Amino acid sequence: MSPKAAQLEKAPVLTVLEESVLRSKRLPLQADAPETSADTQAVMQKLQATAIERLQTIGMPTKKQEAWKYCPVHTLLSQSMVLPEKPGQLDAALLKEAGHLEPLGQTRLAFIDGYYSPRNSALPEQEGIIALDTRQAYAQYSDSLLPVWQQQANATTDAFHAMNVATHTNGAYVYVDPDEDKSAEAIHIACFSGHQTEQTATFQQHHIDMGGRSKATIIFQCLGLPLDEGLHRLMHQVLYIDVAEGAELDLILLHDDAIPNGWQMMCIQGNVAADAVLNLTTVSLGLGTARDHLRLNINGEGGMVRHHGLTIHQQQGQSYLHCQINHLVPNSQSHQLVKSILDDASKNDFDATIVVAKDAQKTDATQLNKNLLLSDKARAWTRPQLKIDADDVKCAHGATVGQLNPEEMFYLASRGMPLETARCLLTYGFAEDALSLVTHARLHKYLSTQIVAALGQTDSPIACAMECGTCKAPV
Amino acid sequence: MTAVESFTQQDYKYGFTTDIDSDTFAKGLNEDVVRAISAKKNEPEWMLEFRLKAFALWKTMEKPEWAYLDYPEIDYQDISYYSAPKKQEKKASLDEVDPELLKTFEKLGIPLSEQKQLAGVTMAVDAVFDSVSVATTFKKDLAKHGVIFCSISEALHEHPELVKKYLGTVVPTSDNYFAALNSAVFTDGSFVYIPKDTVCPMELSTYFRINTEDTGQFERTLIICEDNAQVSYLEGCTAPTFKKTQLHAAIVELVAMDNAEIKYSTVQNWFAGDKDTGKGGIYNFVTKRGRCQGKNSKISWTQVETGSSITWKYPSCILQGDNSVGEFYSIALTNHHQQADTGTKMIHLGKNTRSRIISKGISAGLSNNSYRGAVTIKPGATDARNFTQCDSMLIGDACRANTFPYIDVANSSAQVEHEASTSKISDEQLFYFQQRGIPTEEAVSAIVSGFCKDVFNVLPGEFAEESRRLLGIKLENSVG
Repeated sequence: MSPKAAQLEKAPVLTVLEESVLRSKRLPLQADAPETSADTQAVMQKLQATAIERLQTIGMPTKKQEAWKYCPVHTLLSQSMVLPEKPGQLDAALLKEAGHLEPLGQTRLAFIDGYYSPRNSALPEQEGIIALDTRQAYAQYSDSLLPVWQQQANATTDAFHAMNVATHTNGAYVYVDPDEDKSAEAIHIACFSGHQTEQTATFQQHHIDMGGRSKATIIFQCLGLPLDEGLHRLMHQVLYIDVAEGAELDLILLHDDAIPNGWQMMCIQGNVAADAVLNLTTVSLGLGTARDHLRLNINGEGGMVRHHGLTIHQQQGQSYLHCQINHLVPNSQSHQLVKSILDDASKNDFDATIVVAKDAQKTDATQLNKNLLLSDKARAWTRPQLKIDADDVKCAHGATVGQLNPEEMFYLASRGMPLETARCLLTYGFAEDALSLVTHARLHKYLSTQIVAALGQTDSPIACAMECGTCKAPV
Repeated sequence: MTAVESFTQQDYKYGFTTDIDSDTFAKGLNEDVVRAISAKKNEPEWMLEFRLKAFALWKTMEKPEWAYLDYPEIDYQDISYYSAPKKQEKKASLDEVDPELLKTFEKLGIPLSEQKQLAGVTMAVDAVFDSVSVATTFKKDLAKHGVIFCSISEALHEHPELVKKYLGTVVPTSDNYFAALNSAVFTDGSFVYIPKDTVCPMELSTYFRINTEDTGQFERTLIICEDNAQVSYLEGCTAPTFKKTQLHAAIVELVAMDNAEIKYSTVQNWFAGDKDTGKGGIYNFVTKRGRCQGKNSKISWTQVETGSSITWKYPSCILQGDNSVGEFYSIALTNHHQQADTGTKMIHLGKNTRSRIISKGISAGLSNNSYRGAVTIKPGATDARNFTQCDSMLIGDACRANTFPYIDVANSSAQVEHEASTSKISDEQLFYFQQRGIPTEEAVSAIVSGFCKDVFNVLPGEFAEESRRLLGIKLENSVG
């Protein structure tokens, strides 16, 4: 037997994290709660068994895998964590101070440590929208949720995704009726961490289902609040997105973790049908580690994905984007622009692939990654990749790593602007560009404020200009 | 049939074999084979140790799986690791070289006779036939300038101190699976040493020819350019048409000292395998790397890759000296069943280091062509610059083109730019040519030439012309 085969024969060695998650044996959707029907319990047990089997086949990620090459995932895997039994206390004052408690939409679904929080949620009666937590949604629409979970449990290639399928607690379910335009009023999904004294791992699953020709704007916040020093925390979200024919979804994802050992991972599986549009904006701030795993399939002719990403990190903040956009049919488009601003010892990895299938002729795809390095210890990796199997396509990609343009600095300075202000203005301008898909005014303002804060420019003329709009500072 | 048609419908014209009595080892690879190669070449003890160490290491290594290539497992025991034409004692004069060999190289268009040089161009040639170097021209003229140009086997005897000092310093034995294999079993290759303040008076060139079936070719090239020296080096490769695949695992190491400049050009036209079945052809697994050791040094790689059934090749530059420059210009063409995963690595270590990558990939037929590159800016590489452009062209709807650039920046003063595009030859372009009475094949050839002109422009004179012709031949019948 070859050494490789012998290695495979050995029983899988569990990582500390894996063991602590699997040991808990909590059923998906907390189906082990006494009030759950025996039928549901049986279904969830089966789902969990499939997912765990899948997890053991895939194995936990290592740095040897291209998708995890730069991500220090071993530091997370060596941690022992518990699945929180109940939600921790939410520090509302802190959230408010950070500007996160602004009401961003009439419909709000809030979760603390993976548990639904009715107190922080608002679900007004609305025609044309179903917004529920997944536990309730499952009671009413198990026909549409269960097949997705089962299929994902069988097919996933991501170990964290498999763990999520096996143990997820609760999440948001949003369905927009066909032909309904709900884009004027944003739907707000918020996942908070509560105060815990132990190291916790939360797993949540969310579904966004857009009916044919419907429109919606959704903001998804993932916020990690301070914890006792040294504690690790994992917040893992899985998000299934279905954009049916002719529908348009503006989706904004915000990661912000206040602790260096805070991990926020998101696994997005999206399907875009014919003539449908997915406008995705991902923003990653804070001191923790964010990793987004995106699989977006364009399944219908005329389908389009636009993805803008923005990362702003200081200290040890890190972001890893692992993205694959699959053009599976002719005449589809994808446009990607991801920017990062890295200070101190922060890191950013852009690992994105555009796949053009054999029949996907007339594909138009662009991919651009720009990184601004502000410190000698900051690190940028960029891997824009193309895999093209069709010949009549327009595909282009680009990547840059650099500093603020000295000529632009000079231009502003020569007009009497102090260097510091000029630097602020150019940095903000670099970042703001990534928000151009956010057309919803209130969300745009919220994100701009967050960016200004993340850049440490709250006292700068830019912040002032945004607040009052009549600032006389030399901007 | 027009002249153009007859020209473009040529098959692989280097597919003949030379019937020559060879001294070939039995198939198989073990320590005894490594010892036998070393003994055959009468090598010093340290060289044998180098080989044995590499062999021991190779046995523990696993073959790289990351490339976007698909090929069956190679049976390393089914290859003969040494084959040389008999009576291969190197002759003092070319007149004494086996006339059969001279004829072979003449047929390949390689001028081994010093009198019959290409019009106006003087070029010194080292000809490697299977495992050994059979002739090196202009050695005496070069020696007058202090330039050493000989086979690496000769260098091991005549200049052991130089070989020992540099061998394995740019591509260490442990570098990768194929490098370890080469270090254990390499049989010949070229050695070039350009002394201080010398501009090599003529182009140097090596021509590699695999002739014997079931052999592998493992050559090793080492070029050292001392302070203020310059050299331009060309490499060409062909092989006969065999049904079985053959392995070619080479290592090229370049060292450039202060203000030195090395230009290394390759026109690779190994047999690419059968057009219809994909059977046969060369597996070309090559490790090429240059170290810009001195200040203001420059290494420039230019390659035209048209042959081989599988290409796995990443000529790289380690930019160690301050202000050093690395360049990579590449045309990689794949047709029929060929697969190529090729690109470059630029590793910036010194201050003000610059690199430039221009890669043109053309895929046609059922082929698969990938660009894979890495640009690494290390923390100490202040003010480093890189510009990368890699364009792909697809001809036909059954081929694939991929781009995998990796960029790793750890210094905030760096400026790195990468851009890439993918396109096809449009019907409008072809129509434009046809309307003017230019046949499709010729039009394709012209459009491809235009697509590749950035690279042609940096190829030495007649190589540019040869490459242009080669691309035309390789693309025959790929449109319409």
